[in-house]
Amino acid sequence: MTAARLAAALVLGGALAAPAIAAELRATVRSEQGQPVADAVVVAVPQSAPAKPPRPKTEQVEQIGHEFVPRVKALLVGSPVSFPNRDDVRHHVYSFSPAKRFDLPLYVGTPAQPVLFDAPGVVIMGCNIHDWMVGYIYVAESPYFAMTGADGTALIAGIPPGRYAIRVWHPQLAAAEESTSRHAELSATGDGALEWRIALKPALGLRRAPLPGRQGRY
Amino acid sequence: MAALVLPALAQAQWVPQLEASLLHDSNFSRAQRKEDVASDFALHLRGTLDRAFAVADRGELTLTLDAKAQQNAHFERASYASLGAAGAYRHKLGLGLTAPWLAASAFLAQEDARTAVRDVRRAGAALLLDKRFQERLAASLGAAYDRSVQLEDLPVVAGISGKAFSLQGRTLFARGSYALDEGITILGGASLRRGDVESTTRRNLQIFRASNAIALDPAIGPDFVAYRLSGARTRSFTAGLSRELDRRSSISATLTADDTRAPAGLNYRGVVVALIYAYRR
Repeated sequence: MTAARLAAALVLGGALAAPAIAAELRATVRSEQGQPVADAVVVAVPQSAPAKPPRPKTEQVEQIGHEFVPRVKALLVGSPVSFPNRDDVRHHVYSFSPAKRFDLPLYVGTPAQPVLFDAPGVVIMGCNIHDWMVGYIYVAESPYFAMTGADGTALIAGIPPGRYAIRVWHPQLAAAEESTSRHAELSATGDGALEWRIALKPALGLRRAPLPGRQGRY
Repeated sequence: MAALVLPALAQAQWVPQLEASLLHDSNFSRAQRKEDVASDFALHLRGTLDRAFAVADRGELTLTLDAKAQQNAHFERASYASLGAAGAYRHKLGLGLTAPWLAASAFLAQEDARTAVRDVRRAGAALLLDKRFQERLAASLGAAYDRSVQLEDLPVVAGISGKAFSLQGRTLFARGSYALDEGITILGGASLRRGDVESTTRRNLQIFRASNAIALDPAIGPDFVAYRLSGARTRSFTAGLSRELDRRSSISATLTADDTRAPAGLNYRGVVVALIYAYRR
């Protein structure tokens, strides 16, 4: 992928031509082919002054129908997360990711203690029994983040004016997350919009559908 | 152990799986001589109900009810229905996607064909080591024992058993799968089986001398005879392509080539081509 392809294209609603945007940021993420990308995380990290850290709230990633729901979850560093199992079989949720290693041996219902996500980064989760179950937790170091919906758009509201590094992450992002980073000066005088075009790797989720089981005959 | 298993029993539910296959067998009769080789198409349906129970931290016990039916296009009297049950225990040797699974399984089934001589009770057991090397690549190695018992002894030659479909054998097998792209998987496999085989041919002295059980097999034709040959070795190779239609269903095409070497030079080959739709809830 070229740097040009990765370059965030500023969609100028007029205001973004100058380094001044509103306290509300609308970010659109599209694939190289122009298709909207859902489940992308957009994070705005303040550069001028550290963000006043809000109190993290307890988040939830459920297991429903042998899948993680939601499959991608963004949350603020320091957030505790509970993993309720809504299925009628037991799951064994774990992660080897450097940002958070944890292991919740086979359980039903909701584990008594939530897991604390105390370092920023991407955490890939799996179930040790059902290999196809894969989920992602994006632990943001900044409270200003949002996820894109089916239309590829994320809305980050209530951003204090200042200079921000804004970047995008997605489970299929082909390049390093840092390569999507763009700087912008945000002000409280109007709405702004940013658009990224990102290259995506094929979605190589582990297969859940059955494989045929025939062996040779004799 | 009961404390671990009983809560799981209360939680588990039966999960249905359905498989519908269209098959072509180039040597359905498993005959040696060209004039005896009979090919056929068949529609094969299989439905299973699985119930899985978690055992300890990394084990899973699965009980399966298994129903099959096969309708042959030409040799209709070889069509059959089967009802069986299976149990399997698999244990993950570690934590994570690449940790191997060790599994032991056993099954019992009764097969009712339209021709009485083909009615059998089948049983078997297998040990399997299953390992995923990365997201795309998985492979397994296993050993299996199979036994079928013909329900009715129908001798045609005095002093020689009529249970030509009573067979047993041991198989070593290896299978692998590689995910090419989104939803498409390449399948491969090889197996080596040693044991008894059944071959249906017109009467001939060579196979008569080598066989140890003989029965008429009207499913293939009025002048066809089923012979049991012991000490045979069958090598099988399977290749296929499977496409995931969604998270619960797939369509696959497989080709299995078999090469059987039986004593006295009674060798035969066959190729089975299958188009398979599978759904698992």
